[in-house]
Amino acid sequence: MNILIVDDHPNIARVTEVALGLLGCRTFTTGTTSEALRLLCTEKVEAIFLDLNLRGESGLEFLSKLTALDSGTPVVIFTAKNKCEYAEEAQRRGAFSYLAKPFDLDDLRRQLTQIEYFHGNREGALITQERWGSP
Amino acid sequence: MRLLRLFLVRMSPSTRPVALAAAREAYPNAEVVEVGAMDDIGYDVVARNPELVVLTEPDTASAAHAIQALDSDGLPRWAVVILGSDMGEFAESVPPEQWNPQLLARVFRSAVQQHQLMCDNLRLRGDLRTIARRVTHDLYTPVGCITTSAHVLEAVLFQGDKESVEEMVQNVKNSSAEIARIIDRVSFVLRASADPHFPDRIEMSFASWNPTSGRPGRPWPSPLPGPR
Repeated sequence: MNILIVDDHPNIARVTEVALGLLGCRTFTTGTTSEALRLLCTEKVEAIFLDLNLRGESGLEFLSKLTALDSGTPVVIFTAKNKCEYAEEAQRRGAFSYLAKPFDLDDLRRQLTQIEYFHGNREGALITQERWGSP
Repeated sequence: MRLLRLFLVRMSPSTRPVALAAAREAYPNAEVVEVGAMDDIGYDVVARNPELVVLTEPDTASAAHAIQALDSDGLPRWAVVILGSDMGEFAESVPPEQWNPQLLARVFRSAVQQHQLMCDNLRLRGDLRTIARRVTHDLYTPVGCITTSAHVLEAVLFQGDKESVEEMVQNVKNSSAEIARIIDRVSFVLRASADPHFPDRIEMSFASWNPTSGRPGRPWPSPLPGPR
């Protein structure tokens, strides 16, 4: 599965890349929303992992823009565990789901399984579930 | 003594001399401005911002106007003394039978000091709230990264991918160092907030005054190499 990671914290972005790589995903990473839009035009992306707390245009603003574009690409937002009110706002703005930081591989695997089901790929969902153990 | 600006609002012929004498006694160098109503103070903060407003027997609206006025930082804009009936806890009120220059001078000074202390306190509490908010967010990011890196590291070690292990270890080190820097900055800011006279950081190799010559100093020579 191709995943676009939008997070301007380089360590968080990198650890997410490695974790998604372990779960069999191909990743594209950027810290800016403008670069994210460019990657969405040039690459086949099946899900976006978006940090809400970006410098410049906020994650919520970018999420609204993505929803307005109606690309059909599910957006999973990163949020700190103590900021669940932002997660609710993000879901109102069309986020597919949210991933609370810090997350582990099981959390990521659950997200990927849901995304596979969203894309109607039951077989892929089962493969993701089997990778690194069952939920 | 620093220069203050006092506004006397709606002084009657009987209170005017007492209030003026009190103002002169409390702050001999103060600029005293007399106006007919609160609206006459205006909002030209730079040119006409008083530090003490004294009102005589004000109506409720004028008293509220004086007491509730805020500056651009959201702090109480000035100290308020009301010559007349009690208007609540946010202004000093002095009943008519106590209107004499000596007592009013003490009340004026007390009101100005109390206002200054209240502003300092509110400012400090605002700073601490900002610090707490920033610390929560800024510390949470590297801590979250360390936690996730540890989970990934565990999985990678199980798989035996040496390159990813090195990368995750580096991630843990970077995030730990980031937390250490934040703690250092927070510690400095908190000490500076608690003590307004907290010393600035200076270059320790430079002596600002040479006590033997009585002239401004020059950089100390580099220390000789060797054991200390």
